[in-house]
Amino acid sequence: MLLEPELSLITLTLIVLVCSLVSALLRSRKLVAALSSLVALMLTAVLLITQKGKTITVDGLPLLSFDKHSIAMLVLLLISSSLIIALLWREIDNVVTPLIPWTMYASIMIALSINPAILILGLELGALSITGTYLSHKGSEESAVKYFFTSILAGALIIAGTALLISNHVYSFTGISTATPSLIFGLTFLITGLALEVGLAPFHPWLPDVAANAPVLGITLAILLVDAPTLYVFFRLISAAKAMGQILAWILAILAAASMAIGEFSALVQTSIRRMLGFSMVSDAGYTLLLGVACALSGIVSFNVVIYFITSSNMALALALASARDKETIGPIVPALLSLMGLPPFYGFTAKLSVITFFARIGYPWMAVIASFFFLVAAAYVMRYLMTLSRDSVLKGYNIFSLIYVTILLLLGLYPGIINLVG
Amino acid sequence: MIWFVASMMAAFSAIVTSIYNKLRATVILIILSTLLGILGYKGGSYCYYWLKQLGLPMCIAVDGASVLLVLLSGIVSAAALVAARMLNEEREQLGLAITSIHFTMIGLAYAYSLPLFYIFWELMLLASSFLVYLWDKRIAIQFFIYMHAGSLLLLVAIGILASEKATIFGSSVLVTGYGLVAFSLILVAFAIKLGVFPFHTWLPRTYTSLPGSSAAVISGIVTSAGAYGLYRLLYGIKWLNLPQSVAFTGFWLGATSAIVGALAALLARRLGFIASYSSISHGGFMYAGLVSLSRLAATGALYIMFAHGIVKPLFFLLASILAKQAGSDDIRDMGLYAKTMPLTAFIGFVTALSLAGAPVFAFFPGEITVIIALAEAALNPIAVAILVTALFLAAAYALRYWLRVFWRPVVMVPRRLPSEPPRRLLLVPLTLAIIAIVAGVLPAPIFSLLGAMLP
Amino acid sequence: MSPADYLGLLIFLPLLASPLALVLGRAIGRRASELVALSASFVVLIASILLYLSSLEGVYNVASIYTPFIPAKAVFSVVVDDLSKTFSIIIGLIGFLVILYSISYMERDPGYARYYAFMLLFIASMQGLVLTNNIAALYAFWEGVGLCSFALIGHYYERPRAGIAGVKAFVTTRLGDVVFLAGIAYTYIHTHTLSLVALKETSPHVASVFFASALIGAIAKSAQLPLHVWLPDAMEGPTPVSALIHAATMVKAGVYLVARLVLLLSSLIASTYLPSIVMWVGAITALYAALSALAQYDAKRLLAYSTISQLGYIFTALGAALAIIGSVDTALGHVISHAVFKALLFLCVGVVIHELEPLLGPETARDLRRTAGVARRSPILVLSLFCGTMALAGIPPFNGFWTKDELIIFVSKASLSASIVLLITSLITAAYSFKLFYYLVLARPEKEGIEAITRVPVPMATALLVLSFLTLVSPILIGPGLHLSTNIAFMGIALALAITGIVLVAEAYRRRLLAPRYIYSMLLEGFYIDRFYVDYLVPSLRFVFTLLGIGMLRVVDAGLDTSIKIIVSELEATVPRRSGRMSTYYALYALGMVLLVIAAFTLLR
Repeated sequence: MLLEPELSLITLTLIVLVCSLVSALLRSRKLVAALSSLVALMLTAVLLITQKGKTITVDGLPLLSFDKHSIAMLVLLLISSSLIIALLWREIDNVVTPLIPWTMYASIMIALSINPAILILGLELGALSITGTYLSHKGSEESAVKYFFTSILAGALIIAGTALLISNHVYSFTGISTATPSLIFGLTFLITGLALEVGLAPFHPWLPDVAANAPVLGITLAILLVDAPTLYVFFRLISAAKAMGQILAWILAILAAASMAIGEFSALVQTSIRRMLGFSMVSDAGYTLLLGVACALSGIVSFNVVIYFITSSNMALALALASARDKETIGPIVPALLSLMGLPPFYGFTAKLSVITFFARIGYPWMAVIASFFFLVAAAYVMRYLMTLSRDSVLKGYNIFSLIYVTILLLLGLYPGIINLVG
Repeated sequence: MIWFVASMMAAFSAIVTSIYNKLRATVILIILSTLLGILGYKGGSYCYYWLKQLGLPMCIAVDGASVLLVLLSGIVSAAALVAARMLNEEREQLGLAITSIHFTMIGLAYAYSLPLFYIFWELMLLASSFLVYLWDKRIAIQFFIYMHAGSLLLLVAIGILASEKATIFGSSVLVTGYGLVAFSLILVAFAIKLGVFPFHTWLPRTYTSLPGSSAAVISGIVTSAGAYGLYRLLYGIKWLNLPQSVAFTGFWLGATSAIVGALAALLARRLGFIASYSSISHGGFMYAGLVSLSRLAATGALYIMFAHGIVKPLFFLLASILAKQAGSDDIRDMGLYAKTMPLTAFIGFVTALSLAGAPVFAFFPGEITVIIALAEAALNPIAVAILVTALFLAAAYALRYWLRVFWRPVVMVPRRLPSEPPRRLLLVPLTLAIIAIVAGVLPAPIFSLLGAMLP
Repeated sequence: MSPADYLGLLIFLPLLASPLALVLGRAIGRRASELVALSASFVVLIASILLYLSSLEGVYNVASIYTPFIPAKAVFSVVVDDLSKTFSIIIGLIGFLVILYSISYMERDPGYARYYAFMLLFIASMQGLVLTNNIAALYAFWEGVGLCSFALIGHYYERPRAGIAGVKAFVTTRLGDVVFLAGIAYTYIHTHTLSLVALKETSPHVASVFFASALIGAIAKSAQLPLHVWLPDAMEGPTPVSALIHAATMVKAGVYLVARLVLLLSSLIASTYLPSIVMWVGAITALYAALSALAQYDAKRLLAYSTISQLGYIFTALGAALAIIGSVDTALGHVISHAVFKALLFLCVGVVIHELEPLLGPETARDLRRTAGVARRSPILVLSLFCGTMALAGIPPFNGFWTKDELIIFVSKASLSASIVLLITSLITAAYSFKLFYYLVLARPEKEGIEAITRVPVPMATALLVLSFLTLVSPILIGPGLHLSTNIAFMGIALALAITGIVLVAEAYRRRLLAPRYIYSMLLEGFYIDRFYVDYLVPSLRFVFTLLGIGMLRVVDAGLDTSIKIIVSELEATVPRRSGRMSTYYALYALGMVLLVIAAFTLLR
């Protein structure tokens, strides 16, 4: 059943269209709507696995590359999204469901893109879908508007940057060598746009607001399906800059440290758990940037480490936000936050262990020390929050889906190589 | 390997029975797991490679120091559980907390490679924070954060060591620039864990916010784990070309801590604080012994670890009983208790003499070994003299405690003296006291155990 | 008998009898303890006499076969010579007599089991101390006697003063012990041997260090200046304890140690400054303590200061022996005399206290002004007091006269000035000895109502009589023997001084002369040395300790807490906790972008 990559793309698009139509038409039946989204996700996952290693090119321009790391990450994210949807199926609203397959489509576009044009396509699609999702609830229009305006600005910057890049005949992220002014502008716009999208300081203030006020299903899917792949692309972009000088690396490292600092320290004083987690996302962007800088400086690019990190933190965040919606469902937040904090035997521990080992191995132990300091701050606010939970609430809210989610977190904690098996 | 699995299973069953509040079954299972753990002695090592691309092996093996730790953990957990029931110091999940700590300790003792060690280290931290959480939430947070800081430093060190491919105890590390960083981080991390000055802040608060039996667990097991861990990391990995200055700094830190802790214990008025500062002092002693990188001193330090793990819980249990009988834990309110509670006074006397480092009792063999080893290692004689002074100060505060509580009347005003507590309350402290005496009188088995260490 | 037998009888027998006395005393009763103690001390006495009379001489290594729990075979090394034999017999004799005496004295005391156990332990430790050749064992026994002393001083633990006195004794002697231990450690590191006699072969430098540290330990243990402050307060203990431990034996431990080292090391260190230190510490202490004794009205304190003074004499003689590389026989002679007459005097005072304490209370029963004349009706007491005080004053034919004079003559060979100091002290010594005799025997009571003592219980009387007898004959029976000095003139001067002292005091009492207030209080308080220690030295040390201990810890704690508080409050003030305005955000983005562009341009060019 191996399809040609182009055929698979078409198939993918069809799946998305059909499923969104189904959920749009059958809007009265929540269960069916949810199921159709789930089906879309599952089929996509299967499809992706079969396409490992291929590349889609048009007129010699590589557009999408189904490389194993991206596929592995995507599959994991898709499975997590399915579980979240299943977990939150009661929250499924009529407007939201048709947009879910499109969000998924966007994530694939972003993650598998080599060409900046495809990246833009994915980002815009994702922005639209997510904004639509946010608009579906009363009271979250503000966050929808904020998010939308931010995405517009990000998109604009990325488009401008891409345009400048293309005008310099740079069509992919690999191998940027010359340095003309327009190229510099282009790169700067591109990076700024991506930074805005992921929430890197000083482009971060929208993220905690949105995390605090957006509807739960929307924000969780945004985290898993838009934010994660974008972080991944951001990493690829930074780590590919082989000609990065020491000073630029220092500046980016300072930027990353600022993100980590602002993110973790702001989270320390928050009273709302959702806002706290939003700031945690800001610091995640910082960590990813630091990883990218380390890879660029040393020339050793480890996709495994960054995938572990991105997927673990975003999966934990998604589960945490999903559990935090109600007092009755708050139970699973405990393993989610323990994983976010980096305690064994959860996935987060393995991820943070890999990050620190990686920094040490490539010869930058001071980065490991800085990262571990901010891990400590994260542990601080997570523990503080956990200690405020009352003992009975810790056991509420577990159903089969959250249990599966937690089991996945545990499994990956014990043997993260599972991802590579998939990919 | 089989002993490891069997021991862990027994410990896990202990956790389960503790959830159902079955004290006897729990205690029996704890003892069983300890015995199984000890039986794994000299069973060889077994490795499994996890995260191949990062090169992080998980190995288990047992040597003399591990056996000591397992034994200590078993004794103290069982004693604390029984004592908690007798002294009415229970909370709902107390058994769960204590058995979890025991479970993680067995894993820690068996861990023979760094990643596995760290995993159980974090789990132990989690379990002990939970224990503290049961009694005081605010202190639990502070405790956890402070300890976690140390753990993260340890994590960085592990990362550096992993990059040097030195993850199984028994390899060698060429101390280049980064190896030195790793060493320094390890020193700081374990200074935090042992409560060595100036990283001692968490200790008095945590110990005094817990009742006697829980404080016994934290002081007896958790702090011992710190000494054990430092031993494993400093001696399980051959550090080559280490500049003297780093070891010296660590040594001075330990010596300072020993003196400062002893002086503070001499002046403290509440029993809990006497115990805390005394632990700071002994922590410094152990630290100084271990950091000197001399095997003999390490043996002595591990002996002190064992002695401390027996005597400090004894002190805490006794303090709990005294506070119950006297109504307050301030020693200024006490005096002349030997008249009405002779058995308690005797147990207190054993405790005091043990803490003082008197020859027949638990601390003496370890402390004398450390001092002799350090003198022979030709370190700065002033530093050794400081440790000896700390020893005398220990005698001072231990005797002052006993005299103040049991012997000297404070004022010659007829006061109602508390009566002897019921005999069953004294059973556990008496057992611990006997163990303390045995450890002091028969040092040979423990020394031979520690001597036959895997390289 | 072999050395092993002596070892067993002299050291291990009382050692084992000690817990036996405790347990049997608790289980069966008073008589059991007394029986055990009496028999054990009697056996020790006989054994020590036999040892004294035997011809054993030298260092013997006794291998023990009964060594449970100790991994290696323990070898006990003992040194047997005149010095150790003499001390051993003193310990045995006074020990037995005091325990005999205690049977009466402690007949009403409920803590008898503890008392006898510690007394036996003390005897064992003291015997061990004087017989062992192993420095570590010597230190262990040294500590042992200190422990027994502390426990026995604090015997009446329900009295606050007793507890405080016990702790004071312990801490003061501890200071000396610590220095001694440091010296032992230093010597061991340099010589790698723990044998006492092997010290003869060390270098002069090591010998000096060891001697100096042992000297400080001895100064503490034997209550010389400046570490003498514990002995007067140690009188809170039962009087037999004072007699045995604080007059006859424990305080002589320091003497023994110094004497032993003088024998071993004098050739090595005679040329250093150490002999002069020993001599002058002794001489000044002798004078100081004698002056303080003169002013005391507490009988036991008077005797305590007297002990300090007499020990000063002995130390001076030891220093002289060290300086001229002479023998310690003179010092040893006075040790014997002093043990006999001081124990005798304490036991006499003990009779008074024993009879009067139920009536007057512990404090008043010791006050000479209140107990004036109380001994005049008992012939035994009068006789004993006469013998004791005259021996102390140095009147012939009592032993004090002979030995003291020999001592002063011996000292004059090394340092004339020191001997002159000692002579002056003799005058004062005679004065206060007569004071004691006067108050207890000759004076008339101020008020009526206190009955004079007529009957002395048999055990007490026996002890008193034996000791009185010994004050006459001890120089002949025990010790280096009587050497009639050729310097008759000197003896005449000494005698004249003693008689002068007695006459002066007698006149002062007859004419009811009183000393000026301030001189009197200064002497009473021992020139305020003790006051200085307690009121100034200890509090300032405590302050320093607090600063170093709790102070340092608290500083770090406070620093950590404050910094965390500041950080958190700063963050709470600055970090937004609610949603902000979009326009603000855009401004921030614009700013960030501009900065990035500038950075990119300046760098990538």
